[in-house]
This record gives sequence, C-alpha cells and structure tokens, in this order.
Amino acid sequence: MNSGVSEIAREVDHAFLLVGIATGLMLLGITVVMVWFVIKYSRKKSKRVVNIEGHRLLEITWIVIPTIIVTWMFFVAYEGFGMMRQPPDDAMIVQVTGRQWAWEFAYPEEKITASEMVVPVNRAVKALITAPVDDVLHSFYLPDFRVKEDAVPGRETYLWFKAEREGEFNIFCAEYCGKDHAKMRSTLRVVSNDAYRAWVKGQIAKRYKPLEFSGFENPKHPAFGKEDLNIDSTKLFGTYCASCHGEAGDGSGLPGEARNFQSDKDWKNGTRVSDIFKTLIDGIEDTQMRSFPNLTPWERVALAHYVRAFQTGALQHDTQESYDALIKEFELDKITGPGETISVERAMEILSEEAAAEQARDAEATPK
Amino acid sequence: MNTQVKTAASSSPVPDYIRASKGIWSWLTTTDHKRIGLMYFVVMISLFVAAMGMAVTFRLELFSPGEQLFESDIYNRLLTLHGVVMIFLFIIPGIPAVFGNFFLPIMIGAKDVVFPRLNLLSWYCFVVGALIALFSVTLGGIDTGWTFYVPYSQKTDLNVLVPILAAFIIGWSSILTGINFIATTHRMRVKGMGFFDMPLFVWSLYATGWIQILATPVVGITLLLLVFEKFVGVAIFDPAAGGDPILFEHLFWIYSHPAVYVMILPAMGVVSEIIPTFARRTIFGYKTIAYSSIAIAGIGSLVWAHHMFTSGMVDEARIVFSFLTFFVAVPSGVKVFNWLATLYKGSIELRSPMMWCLMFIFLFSIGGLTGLFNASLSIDIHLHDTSWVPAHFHYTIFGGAVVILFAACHYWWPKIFGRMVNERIAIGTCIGFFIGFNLTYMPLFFAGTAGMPRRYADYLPEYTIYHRLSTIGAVILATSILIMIINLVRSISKGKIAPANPWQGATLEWTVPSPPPTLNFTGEPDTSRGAYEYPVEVSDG
Ligand code: HEC
Ligand code: HEM
Ligand SMILES: [Cu+2]
Ligand SMILES: [Cu+2]
Repeated sequence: MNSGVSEIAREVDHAFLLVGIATGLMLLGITVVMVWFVIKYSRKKSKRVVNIEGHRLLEITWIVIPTIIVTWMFFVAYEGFGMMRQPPDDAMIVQVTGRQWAWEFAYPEEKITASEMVVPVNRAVKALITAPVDDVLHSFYLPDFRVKEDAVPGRETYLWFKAEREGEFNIFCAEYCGKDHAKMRSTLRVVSNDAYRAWVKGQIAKRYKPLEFSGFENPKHPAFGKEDLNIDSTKLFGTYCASCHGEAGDGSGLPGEARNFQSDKDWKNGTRVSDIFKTLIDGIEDTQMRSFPNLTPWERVALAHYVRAFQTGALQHDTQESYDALIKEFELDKITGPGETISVERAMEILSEEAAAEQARDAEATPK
Repeated sequence: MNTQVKTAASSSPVPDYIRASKGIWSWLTTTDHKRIGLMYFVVMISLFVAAMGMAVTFRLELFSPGEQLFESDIYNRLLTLHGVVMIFLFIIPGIPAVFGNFFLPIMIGAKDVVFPRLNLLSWYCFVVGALIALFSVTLGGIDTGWTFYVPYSQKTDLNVLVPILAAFIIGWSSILTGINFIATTHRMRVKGMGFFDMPLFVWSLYATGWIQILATPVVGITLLLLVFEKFVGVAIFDPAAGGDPILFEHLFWIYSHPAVYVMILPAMGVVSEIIPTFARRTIFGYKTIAYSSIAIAGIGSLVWAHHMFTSGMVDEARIVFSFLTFFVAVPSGVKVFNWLATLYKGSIELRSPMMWCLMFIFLFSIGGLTGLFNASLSIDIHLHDTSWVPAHFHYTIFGGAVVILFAACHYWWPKIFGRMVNERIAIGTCIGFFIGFNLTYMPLFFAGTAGMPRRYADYLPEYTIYHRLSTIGAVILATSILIMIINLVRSISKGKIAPANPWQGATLEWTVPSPPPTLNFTGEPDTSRGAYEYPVEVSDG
C-alpha cells in the first residue's frame, strides 16, 4: 500500500489509526474481561452466585464514556472529510466518464481524451465525474489516494487529489455495474511536469495534424512506407489479418477462401493501394472478409503496402484519377490524424482557427 | 433424573405437539405456533444450506486471479442469489419466525399467539414470496447484487419489479408476524406478568415487531413507484427519462437498514436468555437491556444514508448521517457490557449454547467496532464498496444473528424435539466454525483496506493472498456448519431423551414438558419463579 501519496491519504490513514487504536483497545478489553470471568467463575470453582441486578453508576458510566468516544471519532474523521470536499480553486480539471465497462478521461483545457489518466505531480486535480444518462452507476475509486465518488448517470459529482509522488496507481470501479464490473479498471499515471507537457503535446498532435495527401501522386512515395508513417504494419497484419490470410499472405488461414496475396489471381477489387484501402473500409460482401472500421486511414494505407509486398505476380498501379476518386469518396482530405509531432503552440493555433471558423458558420446560419 | 422425566413425559395424558396429529396435511393447515415455527425452520435452513453452497462455489472461483471455474456472469448471479437468499429468505424471517413463534407464547404463559390463523397466513406469504424471489433471480437472470440498484436493475431481462414484488410479499409476512407478536405481548401475558417481568427475548421480539411494521411499507412504496414508472411512464428513478437513481438508494436503505436490526435484535434477546441460564445468576441491568432494544429500534431508523457516503448525496446529509450513526453503536455496546457483567460472580458452565454465545460476543464486537470505521466519514469514503464491507457485515449478521440462531438451536433443541444433542460433536463444530469464520472474513478486512473492491469476479494478483486464505476459511466454515446440522438432525431420532429443564433455566418454557403439548401448559402456568431468578447455591454440576 502506497501510504502518504497525498495529504488526504495521510489524513485518512491517521484517522484510521486513531479509530483503530480505540476500537482495538475496546475489543481487547471486552475479550479479556470475558475470558477472565469465564475462567474465574467457572462452575468448578464457583458454587455460589451473587445475583447482582444492576448498578446504576456503573451503567451510566458505560453509557456516557462510549458516547464521548464515538463523538470524538466523528470529529476525527470529519477533519479528513472536510479536506476531501474542498478542492483548491486552481485545481486542474479532468472530466471522468464511467460507462459499461471503461473509464474515459477528458481534459477540457487541452481538448483531449484518453483511456488512462495522466496528471502532473504536485498539482491539485479535480475530477468531475459522471456517466451517460443511458448508462448505469459506477464509482471512481483511487485506493492509494483514499478517495472515491460514484459516477451517476446524468449528474456530476467530484473528488480531488494532489499526488505528491510520481508513479502508476490503480483506478477501480467500486460500484457494481454488471458483467465486467471487475474489469473496469484503468491506470493513473503521475508524471513530472515535463513529461506531462510532452504527453499532452503528443495527444494534441495526434488529434490535430492534418493529413497531407500529396504522396498519392507517386505510388512509391516514401510517405506511405511503414517507416515514415511510424506504424508497425507487421504487428497490425499479425493482429488483424494473419488468422485468415496466413503470416506469409498465402491465404493459409482459411485455405481456398481467403485471398492468396502472393498470386495475382481472383482479386475482386484489385491490387492498387486505393483498391485495398476500399476493401478494408467496405469488406467484401457475403464473405468472411469483413470491414475494419476501427483502423485509421494511415493504418489502412500501411496495410495496403504490406499486402502488396507479398505479390509475386503483376501489380496494378494507381493513377491520379483513382486517387482523386478515393479521396473524394472517403473525404480523406478532411480527416486529420497522426503525422510527425507538431508544437503545442501550432496545435493551439489550429484550435482557435477551427473555433473561429465554427463561429463564422454559426453566425451565417442564424438568420438576422 | 432422565428416567424420571421420561416416565413423566410418556405417562402424560396429553400428547405433545408433534404427535398430536399426523400427516403432512395436519402440518400445512396447522395453526399451532410451534408447528408454524418448525415449518419456517425447515424452509429457511434448506435455503441457508443452498446459499452457503453458492458462497463456497464463488469463493473457489476467487482462489486465484483470472477466470477458473466460470466467468463473471455466473459469478455475479451466484453472488446475487447468495445475498438475496441469505438476507430476504433466511435471516430477515430468522430468529423471530422460528424461535419467536415457538417460544414467545410459552414464555409469557399463553396457549398460542393472538391470531393463530394470521400466523399460518404469514408462513404462506413467506413461501410464495420466496418462490417468486428464487424464480426471478434464477430464471430471470437477475445479477444486480442484493441491493437491486437502478438504473442497472431496470435494464435486466426481468425488470427489478419482480424481485421487489417478492420482497414486498415476504414483507407482508413480516408485518403479519410483527402485528401478531405485538398484540400477543400486549394481550396474552399470563396474569401477574407485567412488561418488566417478561423475559428479554420477548422484549426484543416486541421491538422488532415495531420495526417490521414501520419499515416494511417502504418496500411497498418503492414497488408502487416502480410500477408507476414502468406502466404510467412517470420519470422517477430512470435518469434517461429525467428520474433520480439516488432516490432508489434512499428508499432501499430506509427499509434495509432497519432490517439489519430486525436480524440482530432478536439475537440479542436470545443472548440475554442463554447467558443467565449458564451463569446461573440473574441478568445484570434488565431495564437497561430492555430500553436499549427500543433505543436501537429508534435510532436505527434514522441512519440509513450511511450506506450512501459516496453516492453523490449532498455533503451536509453525509455529515448528519455519519453523526447519527455513531450513536446506534452506544446501545449495542451497552448490551455487551451488561452481558459481561452478568458473567461476574456467576457459576459458568461451558455447554454448547453458551460457547456459541461467547463466540457471538467476540465476533459481534468485531462487527460492531469495525462498523465505527464505516460510520467515520473520511474513512468510509475509502472503505465503502471494498471487501471491508462484506467482512464487516458478515461479522455482524453472520457472526451475530446467525451464530445466535445456531446457539438457539442448541439451547432449545431439547425442548423442541425432546432429545439432547450430542455435546462433544456440538462443541467440536463450534470450534471449527470459529476458526473457519475468522479465516474467511478477517483477510477481507485487510484486502479492503488495501483497496480491493467488493463484487469483483476477478482481481489483480496483488490481492491473491487474502483471497486464498478466505477461500480456505470458507471450506472449513461450511464443513463445520454441515456437520453441526447433521449432528442436530441426527439427535432428533438418536439423541438421549431430554428432561423438561435440562439447563436449569428459569423462564416458563422450561416448566412445560419436552416437547410441549399442543396447548403448551397442562395446568396453569407456574409464575412463582421470576424469569431471571436463580438460587444462590448451585446444587448440581
Ligand atoms: C475472417 C477471415 C479474414 C480476415 C481476418 C481477413 N480477411 Fe481478407 N479476405 C478474407 C477472405 C475469405 C477473402 C476473399 C473474399 C472473396 O471471396 O472475395 C479476403 C480477401 C481479401 C483481399 C482481396 C480483396 C479483393 O480485391 O479480392 C484483401 C486485399 C484482404 N482480404 C485484405 C485483408 C487484410 C489487410 C486483413 C487484415 C486487416 C484481412 N484481409 C483480414 C478473409 C479474411
Ligand atoms: C459459508 C458461509 C458464507 C460464505 C463463505 C460467504 C461469503 C461471502 C463473500 C465472500 C461475499 C462477498 C463477495 C463479493 O463481494 O464479491 C458474500 C456476500 C454476501 N453475503 Fe455471504 N457468505 C456466507 C454466509 C452468509 C450469511 C449467513 C449471510 C447472511 C445471513 C450472508 C450474506 C451475504 C450478503 C448479503 C452478501 C452481499 C451480496 C452482494 O454483494 O450483493 N452470507 N458472502
Ligand atoms: Cu463497476
Ligand atoms: Cu445500515
């Protein structure tokens, strides 16, 4: 157990210790008196009893003293509760959404979302917790920080913490929410300020780098080589495709059915990059070849090159027209996505440009 | 001495209640409070054994992280069934339905309860409610946990309506029993027995009766609101329609927290009978104990939202409910001190019922004291919905109410069946239980403080050690209980014939034959001896 990872955690542990000592002593007292009486007044030793019907003073004592002790306990624990419910004004906001069965973390200032929570060390963080209205109850629990609060559909609750140490900490769902309740876990990564900035930059860049399609002009353009895209196509192919098409692309996973990429026979859509791209979006109807909507456009391009590389026969090549048609059909020029990293400043610029454009559009749409 | 009573019993002109009439029909239509008590017992104990089997099964699954025996779906259903059966079908009817029914009239010198037919009706309500509950959870696939929280429960195949309907019908059975006990206590006491002459067990049943009557209607209100929401389309609980799921939590606990006292108060009453009997001296602080029952019933009705400290309820409410909760601990503590004082200068014999009672004091103290951590606001925010909570409530409900139900079995078995229970096996199972119990639940306290959430079908490897110990404990625990039950059942035919008063008890049930005749008393009840009147000289043993 990582004790003392925040001021609240220390406070809770302190209260726990005090209550623990008090209750421990009481349990000890009760047990010792019980065992002592049972031995001392056992039938063997004690043949005469004294029928004491009560003792007013004694009974008042053991009503009053426990009352005082529990009142004291209330205040001991109240202390930490006060801290928990008063986040500092300058706390950084993270929006936490619980849904069956995953956590999502949104950073409203940076306009990014992630499935793990990353925060800078020594900075107060206020988590605004909710669940979608058509979802169920969850509870956002950070055991190391001794805080939790339910995620109630359609409501906003909160908790806050300030991590004083870098590290990785568990995030659990503590309110039963159905089948995979036990798997509704995530990680809180507390990192240095610099690492946090870098992470944010990475997230923003991922989201806002516009895709440049000039590379389509030349099918052999290195922009679509796997190195340049920084995508591990071998791994992608192994994960998604090899089960049917075989590691060697020979169709050995589903013999006779899955396309053999080494041969140039039987291709329905064709072997051009744009053809394979299309196959991966639409799938091939009435066959096992499904569509892969989860892949990003870059992953599709990378996989297309990877598939083409198996070919031992004749390859078809794209033309300017075929590219244009593809770009038009899937509106590829409007998609943004990963590329090389850009500066946060640049990302912010793009953001404000986007916002301005949005406003202009809204203004136009509203009739005067 | 045994032989003497044997002849007395067999030459008695009135047959006992078991032999009074024959055939299953004579039982199903009986209005004899003793037979009704036994019929409750048969249903409840079978359900208990089944629910215990489920617990051991899901504990085996938790022996290692990952999925071994079954997947989370099955885990969640078993857990729900375990909780629902144990709470609604076993321990809420619990001691009052079995031992209250059997002994309340005898203890106050009455021939039966005031409304014997209502009493039979309450048994049928219970059985019908139980069938609906079992049906809804097993076939309806309810996997919500025993708390049925919306909106999840409204999304299950079978709307939460059906299990709440079952709780409502069972609730009717509770209300009828409650009314019956209260009226019986007021109207049927033998001449000369005032309220403060009654055995404390009767006091506790009286307080329990009031809780049942006042709290159970909330289940009905909840049911009505759910019906409105579903069929009239008023938004009440469902957030997607603009309702408030936290309202359901309030309603649930307004009933279910007092229900906790429905489980424990009668158990405390039984302890107040058994301890004086085996210490052979009068109870210490009769009135204090009687009044603390009433105090627990009263304060206990005002603390329900301590189950909701992290629910998103406003902070002020959390503070008030935390404050109030601490004060329920006081009357319970007072009772423990009074019991201990009753041991002082007594002459203590460690027979099996007494062993169970002493074990109760230890386990229930742990349960009560760990409850103080939960009442503490900041600590509970950490511990809420971790395995600390199942550990805490098993120590109170299982280590409290159920342990005393077992104590009551050993204490009153000779009276109910006219046979003695094998004492050596009884004490052996009692010790096995103690070891198994602590091994099962103690590790869960530690897992909870380390952040292990409850109702987890799977867990991170760092929690393995706690789960291993707990599973081993559960096997020992269940084995001991099974042997205990076999020992009890075997004694019905094989046990030594019991005398009328094997423990030298002072309450009225020990003045009638074992087993008692249908109308309990052969002549006028003999009230010459007070409920806790013991001679100074201990003659036997
Ligand atoms: C479930 C098995 C399965 C998986 C997984 C699978 N495929 Fe296929 N794939 C097929 C089958 C079967 C065909 C042949 C369809 C037909 O009969 O036209 C096919 C055909 C193809 C074709 C040929 C299209 C054409 O023009 O005829 C390409 C290209 C292709 N798959 C690429 C992929 C890629 C890339 C992946 C991984 C992202 C993948 N497949 C994953 C079963 C699969
Ligand atoms: C052999 C006996 C028993 C064992 C081994 C056992 C074990 C357990 C365990 C480990 C849990 C927690 C599981 C989790 O949170 O994932 C649990 C839950 C529970 N138990 Fe038991 N238990 C036993 C007997 C009892 C008894 C006698 C009662 C009450 C009279 C009881 C009532 C409950 C309730 C109400 C729950 C909560 C269910 C829920 O979360 O919805 N149990 N039991
Ligand atoms: Cu959950
Ligand atoms: Cu409660």
